Amino acid sequence: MWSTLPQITAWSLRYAKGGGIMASGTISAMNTGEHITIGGLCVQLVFFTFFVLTSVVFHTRLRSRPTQQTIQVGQRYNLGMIRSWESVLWGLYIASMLILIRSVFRLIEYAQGNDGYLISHEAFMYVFDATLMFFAMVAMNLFHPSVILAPADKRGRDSIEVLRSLSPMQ
Amino acid sequence: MPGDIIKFSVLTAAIPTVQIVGYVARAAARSNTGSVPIYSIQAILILLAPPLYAASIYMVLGRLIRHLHAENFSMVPLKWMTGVFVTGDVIAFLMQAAGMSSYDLTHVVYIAANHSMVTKIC
Repeated sequence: MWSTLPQITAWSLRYAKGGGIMASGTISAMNTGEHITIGGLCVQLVFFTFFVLTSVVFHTRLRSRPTQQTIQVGQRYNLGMIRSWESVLWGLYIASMLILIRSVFRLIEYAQGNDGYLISHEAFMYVFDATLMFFAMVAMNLFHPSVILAPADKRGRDSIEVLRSLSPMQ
Repeated sequence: MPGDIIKFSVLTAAIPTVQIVGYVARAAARSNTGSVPIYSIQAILILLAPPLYAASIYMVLGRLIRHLHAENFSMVPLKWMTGVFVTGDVIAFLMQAAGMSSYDLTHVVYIAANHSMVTKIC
């Protein structure tokens, strides 16, 4: 640890003088890191776009040829837009778009480099990462997939019906 | 499947927690600019949230397709779905984490070094 200190000092001295940045090994490590991060963001964008495409294709195919099950699910949970098999997909689209925008933002941020405008202004991160991820969470909760995830005998509406049938008041 | 709702709930509860801890660490880093652990925690946790969201989204599409018995409407075979997308997700996360740790840590050391230079000069 201490042995690197003189090196860092010498290097920062050179930096302070405004020269020799390119010659430094640490800077090249920084550039490599930057490229790996950009690569990772590209991988994320490619897979995510492919996923959104898969969802949209599934959605349109199912819409044009509804199955027995989609009709049943639609009838059993006729609670409007917020709880149906399609609302689950709308929730997915909204959350996916927010994550995509975030990844594009991060990509631009890193592509601009170390002294870029986005990376040196913290506010952008709060708007394009923190806020977007917050709304992704809101979307996932508004369009909660409980309809498709809960076991058939434990779904909210069914248990309310069971309670009603058991109640002496009815 | 009864386990699915639990799995999903755990995921959706874990994500905001991860983010909150991340931003708390970031706030703590304000007065600890020299601390590498605090710096790493905030960088990794803030970075981790989107891939986790993505994983839960992949899971939901898979379960939706299964629930609707609409396997043959899917472009990607259902049995490969989670594998394909989660693998991509993990690779993307690891690359970002690896890249950022070498990029950002050198950046921190770089700033710290210059900072100490400035204080020495002044």
